[in-house]
Amino acid sequence: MSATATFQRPARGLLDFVGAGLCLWAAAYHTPVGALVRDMGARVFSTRTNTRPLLAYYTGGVYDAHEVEAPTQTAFVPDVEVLATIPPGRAIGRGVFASASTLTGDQRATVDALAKRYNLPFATPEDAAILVEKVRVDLGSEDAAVLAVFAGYDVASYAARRSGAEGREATLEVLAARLPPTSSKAVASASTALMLGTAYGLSWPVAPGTRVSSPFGWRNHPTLGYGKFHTGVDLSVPEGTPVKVVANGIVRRASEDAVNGKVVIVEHGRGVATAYCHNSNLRVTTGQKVTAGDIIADSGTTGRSTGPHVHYQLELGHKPMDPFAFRGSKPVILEAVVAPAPRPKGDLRKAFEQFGPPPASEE
Amino acid sequence: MPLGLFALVAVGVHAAADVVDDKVLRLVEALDVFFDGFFAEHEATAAWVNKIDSRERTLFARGFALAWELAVDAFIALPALGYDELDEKERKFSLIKETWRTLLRRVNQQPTPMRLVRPFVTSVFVFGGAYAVSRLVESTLFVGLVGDVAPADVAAPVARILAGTAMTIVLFSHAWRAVLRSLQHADETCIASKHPWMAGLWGSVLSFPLALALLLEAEALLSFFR
Repeated sequence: MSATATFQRPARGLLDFVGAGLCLWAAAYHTPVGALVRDMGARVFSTRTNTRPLLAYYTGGVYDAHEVEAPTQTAFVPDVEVLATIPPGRAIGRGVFASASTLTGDQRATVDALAKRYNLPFATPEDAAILVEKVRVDLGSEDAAVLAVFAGYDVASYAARRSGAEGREATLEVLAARLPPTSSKAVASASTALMLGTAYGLSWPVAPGTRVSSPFGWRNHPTLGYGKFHTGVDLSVPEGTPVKVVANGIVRRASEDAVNGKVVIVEHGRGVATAYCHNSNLRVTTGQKVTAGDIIADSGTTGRSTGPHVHYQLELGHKPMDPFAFRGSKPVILEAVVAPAPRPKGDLRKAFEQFGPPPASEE
Repeated sequence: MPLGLFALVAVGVHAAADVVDDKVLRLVEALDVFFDGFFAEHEATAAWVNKIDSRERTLFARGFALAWELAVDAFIALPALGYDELDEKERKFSLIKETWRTLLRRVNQQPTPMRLVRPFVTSVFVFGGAYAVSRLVESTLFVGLVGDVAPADVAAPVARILAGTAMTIVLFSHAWRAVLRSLQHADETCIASKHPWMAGLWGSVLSFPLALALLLEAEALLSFFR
């Protein structure tokens, strides 16, 4: 590294010092190198840090949960048992209510303050939905309204105004980038609420009440013959049944392979994605925008399959979830072959850590 | 000062990486579709089709974005640490008197990819970095002030004025120095190289798309006046 610059300007004053300080501060919070340095500092001085893991600085980590984000600032999906106990109401209200029910102390005080500002109760998911709707009218975006529930009205309003000034849509990812690092917990709660709210609002790809030939969870695989985690639900329908997309979104994949057969993966935003496998015919292409209820495929038995069905998979923050956890009805299971969850050992440890034991709803 | 220059360029590089990371993810997904289709054609490789799930694809894309950013940091931000200034006495007795004019003259007379690209990408990164600094100042001040200290309609303009001041300070104290240093570094490297046209090619190739992506987002700067 050469140090031979001989520029004709010796100025080194207070402004230079302030400028350097600002640059270093921003680098500490806005770069992976800064994160590394802060993390090392926290280790050396045995202090607490809210540093995110290096990879969480990319691809809009606000909806990324679980493995990637630090536990205190991540979108958090409650257990299936908790999700099932959230009382009925509008989808976004259920999401906000579920996320708010995990808060404690001063975080909860922000929620109550917003309800007080609008002179509304916050005792049920329907109350939450009404509150979000009222705030949405004022702030112009549902994401901003949900952020207001957890970060406060003024903070969400500021973030929405700045996003608007930059000519960007006020999605949570954009709003979060306009807030300081101290708001990360509120952003995480808002992302949980929006993710769950979207999941609660999903429709069903085939006729409601269609029987389930294989539920979500550990099972003896029908063609492989050994215990394997089933990451979706198999809906038993005749070949050629129209498969409908469960919410608005963008087709991220419409392709064919030997395992999934003809598969469509749709991204709905807010960390929610759905997949539809083993179809006989695809009616959409990658990159296409779809609206809830659009027919995206015809069911079939392509790929690794023993008969006509739709393998429907729901992912929240890249984690497969039981779609029935977000529906009022229980699955009608044909003949479930549930395998015991393996002990977390060797190669299976990773799978066990990722998916956990079988959800109670299917046992 | 050199550390401040390094930090400013690094913040700008990260702002650029933040713009392209979604595109990287789409690219990784497209590659996954391609390889799944390829593996599915052969019985022996069919089992590999589901090996990479969406979480792993995202991690891979993020890893790629991180590696890209760190590589550009190494090529563009790290040389800023070599920045040095001479005081009055040192300047008086210095044999080398390098100025904007002498450096730009060489760019004009002996243009090379490195001499042309490095100052351009560095100026884009320092503007992006300065804007990120101002945004951090504004949001931190607003959230700190609003509520207990000042009402929102007071906190917002105060925060914005101070953010604008911070950006001005950073641009006037650091931005030009970073660009000048990058020009000087490119010049030194090209002079020392036997093949000046090939000098620093990797750094230029890696940094140019990032700078271009950030430049396309430059409209955000106008938000100060909205």
